[in-house]
Amino acid sequence: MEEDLEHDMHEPTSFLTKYVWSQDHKVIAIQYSVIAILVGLVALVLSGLMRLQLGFPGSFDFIDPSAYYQFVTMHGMIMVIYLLTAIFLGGFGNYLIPLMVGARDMVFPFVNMLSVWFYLLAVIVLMASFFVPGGPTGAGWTLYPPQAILPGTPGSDWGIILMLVSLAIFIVAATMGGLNYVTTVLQARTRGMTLMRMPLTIWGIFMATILALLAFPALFVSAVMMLFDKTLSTSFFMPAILSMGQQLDHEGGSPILFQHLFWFFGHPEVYIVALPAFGIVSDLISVHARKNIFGYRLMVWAIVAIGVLSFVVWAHHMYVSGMNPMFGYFFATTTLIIAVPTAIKVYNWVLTIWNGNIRLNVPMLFALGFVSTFTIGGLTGLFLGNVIVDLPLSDTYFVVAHFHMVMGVSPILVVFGGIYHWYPKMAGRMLNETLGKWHFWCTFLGTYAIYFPMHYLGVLGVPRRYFAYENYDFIPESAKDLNAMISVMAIFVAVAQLIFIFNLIWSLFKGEKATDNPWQATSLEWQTETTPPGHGNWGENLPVCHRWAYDYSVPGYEEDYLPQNYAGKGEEQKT
Amino acid sequence: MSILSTLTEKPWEQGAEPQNQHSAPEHIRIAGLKVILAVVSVLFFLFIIAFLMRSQYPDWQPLAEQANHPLFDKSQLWLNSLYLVLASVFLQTSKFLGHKSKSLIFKISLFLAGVFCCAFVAGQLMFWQQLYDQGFVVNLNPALSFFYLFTGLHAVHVGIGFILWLLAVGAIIKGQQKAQHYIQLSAIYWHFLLLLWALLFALLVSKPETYNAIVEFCGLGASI
Repeated sequence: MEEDLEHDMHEPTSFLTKYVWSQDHKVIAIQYSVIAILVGLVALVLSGLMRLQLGFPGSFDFIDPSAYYQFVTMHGMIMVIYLLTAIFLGGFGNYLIPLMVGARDMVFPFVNMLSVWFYLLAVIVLMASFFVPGGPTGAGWTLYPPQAILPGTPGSDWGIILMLVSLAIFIVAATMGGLNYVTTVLQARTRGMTLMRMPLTIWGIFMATILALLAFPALFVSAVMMLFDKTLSTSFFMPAILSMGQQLDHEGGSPILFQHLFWFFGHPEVYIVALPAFGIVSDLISVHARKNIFGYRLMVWAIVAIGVLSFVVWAHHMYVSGMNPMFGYFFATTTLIIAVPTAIKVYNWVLTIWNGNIRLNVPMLFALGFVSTFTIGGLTGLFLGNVIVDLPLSDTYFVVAHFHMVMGVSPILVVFGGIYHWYPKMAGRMLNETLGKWHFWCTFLGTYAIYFPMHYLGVLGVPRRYFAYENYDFIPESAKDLNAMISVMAIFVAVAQLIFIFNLIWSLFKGEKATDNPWQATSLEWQTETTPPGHGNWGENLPVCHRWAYDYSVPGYEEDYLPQNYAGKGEEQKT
Repeated sequence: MSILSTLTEKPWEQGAEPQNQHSAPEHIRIAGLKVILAVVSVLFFLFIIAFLMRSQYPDWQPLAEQANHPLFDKSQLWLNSLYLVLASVFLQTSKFLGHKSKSLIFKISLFLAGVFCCAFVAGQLMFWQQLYDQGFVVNLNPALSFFYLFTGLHAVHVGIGFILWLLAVGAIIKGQQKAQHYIQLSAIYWHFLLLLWALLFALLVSKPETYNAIVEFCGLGASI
C-alpha cells in the first residue's frame, strides 16, 4: 500500500507543475482560497455600493435602480457560493483533510486539480457578466422566475445566462472536489485514525461535503431547466404571461416548482457553510482554551443530525410563496427541531471555555466572536421559523439582519479565525497579532453596528430589496438616519478588511517565523516534519494515530497537550 | 450495525492497537465511483420529481397516448435500448474474460461494447432528428421538453461512460495492470446508466394515470 502511494507521488519539479497545474492538495487549497478571497472582495465592494444608495439615496448618479439590483444579486450569489462555499470546502477542506487524517494527498489528485480550474472558469464566466450588454443579472440571488428571465429585469439578456452557466460549472467543480473530500475521509485515513478520532473540523467539512453532493444537484436541475426556459422558450417554470402587452411563448409553467427546487438546495447550503464553521470553531476553542472539547460525541451527532434535518426544512423560505398552507405547519416544526442540535453545539462551546486556560489570541477572539454572532442570528431564526411571526417580518430588514448574522458574519468570522490559526502552517510565518486584533475588533463591533439596527428597521416594516424609501408614511424619518449610520459602518468594516489583506501579504515576507506547532495543538497537521509541509506531507513514514484530537491539560503530564501521534507508554510517561 | 457502533465509540478512552484505515487503490476508486453514482442518482431523482410535479398542471400532454403523439411509435427507442443492453452485456463479458486479456474474444467483446455504446448515442440523436422533422420541437409542450432534457443529459452521462471505456482500452494497449480495474469501473457505471435509461424510458412513455398515481402516493400534488 505504502509503495503504491509512493509510486503515485511524483514530486513536481517545474514551476508550472508545482504552483500552477499542481495536484498537491495544499497548493490547490491556496489557489481555491486566493480566488475566493479575490472574488469576495468584489462582492464586498458591491455591498458598499449598495449601502451608499441606501444610506444616501440619490447622492450617487451612477447607481440607478438597475445597477442597484445587479449589486444586490451579485453580492449575494458571490458571497454564498463563490466565497463561503468555495473557501470552506475548496480552501479549508483541501488543506486540512489530508493533513488532519494523516494522508499524503487527496485520493484523486488529478480530479482535485480539475476542480479548482473548473471553479476558476465558473468565476470567470460570472465576472464576464459585468462586461456583457445589459450587465449582470439583477434578479436577486434566488433568481426566481418568471422575473429572472423577463425583459425589464436587469441583465435578462446575457447576465442571467452567464449566471446559470457559471453555477452549472461551479457545481461540476464542487462535485469533483466533494468526491475527493468524502472518499479521502472514508478511505485514506492513517493507521489508528478512526472516524471518532477525527477532529471536529473534519467532521464538519465531511458532513458539509455530503450535503453539497446531495443538494447542489437541485441547483443544477433548476439552473438547467431555467436555462431551457430562457434560451429555448420551454415552460418548465414560466407561466402564461404578458410582457409589455405582448403574449410570450410560455404557458402553464410553475414558478413554485422552481422555488421548491431552489430551496431544496438553498437551505442545505446554509449548513454547507455552517457545518465547517462549527467544526473549525470547536477546534479553535478547544486548542486555545487548552481543554478537551465538551461532549465530543454529541458534537459529532449534532453535526450528523443537522445535516440530515437540513433536507427537510427548505420550505420555511416559502411561507409567503402561495404554497399549500398546510406545509407551513410541517416545515415550522422541523425548523424548530433543528434548533435543538444547534443549541447543543452552542452550549458545548460555552462549556468548553468554562474554566479553560483561555489564550485570548486572534484565532480565539474570532471563535468567541462567532459564538456571539451565531447565537444572535440563531435566535432571530426562531422568530422567522414560526409561520405566524414570519408573515409580517417576511421581506423586511429583519430577514436581512437574521441571515447576515447567522450565515454571513458568523461563517466569515470563522474563515478569519481559521486563517489566523492555520496561516503559520501554510506560510511558515505567523500573522501579525496586533494587526489581527485591530482587524477583529473593527470587524466584530462593526458588523454588530451594521446588522443589529437592521432588526429594528425590520420590525418597523421597512421592506428589503427596495431601491429607495421615499413617500412611505410608515417609515419614520429616523429610519433614514439609521440607514445612513449603517452605511457608514458598512464602509468602515469593508475598509477594515484591508488590514487583513495587508497582514496576509506583509506577514508572508516579514512575519515572525513559525515553529512547527506554534499553538501547541494536538491534531496531526501540526506534527509534520517541516512547516509548511513538503510534498507528500509526512516524509518517509505516515504518522500513526494513538488518541483523539482533544487531549489537552491531561492530568499527570508535563505538557498540557498530547499530540495524536504520541504513543504514550502508560504510567511511566507520566511525571 | 457498524455506523451505530462507530458513532458510540468513546474516543477519549485509550483505544486498542491502531488499526490500518487505508484501502487499496482499487477500493478507493470504487468508493469514488459510488459517490458519483449517488450524486447522479440524486440529480435524476430531482429531475423526475420535477417531471411529476409539472405533470399535474392543466397544460400537460402525455407523450405516447395517441397516434399523433411524439413517442407513440417507440420502435427507434426500443432499438436504442437494445444497443444499450448489448453494450452492457459485452462489457460485462469483457469483465468476465478479464484474466484472458490477450484472447481475441475478449478484444472483440470489449470492442463491441464500445460500438454499441456509440450506436446508442447515435440512435438517440437520430430519434431527436426524426422528432424535429415531424415538428415536435423542444418547446412544443412541457412533457416533450422533459424528453429532450432527460435524453440529452442521459446521453452526456453515456459519453462520460465512453471516456471510461477509452481509458480501459488505452490501458490495455499500454499493457497496464489497471486495465481490468477500469473495465470493472466502466461496467458498474454502464449498468447503472442502463437502469437509469430503463427508468426514464418507462416514465416518459407511461400513461398519465401512472404518474398521477405516483404523485398521489408521494403527496406531491399538495406541494403545488
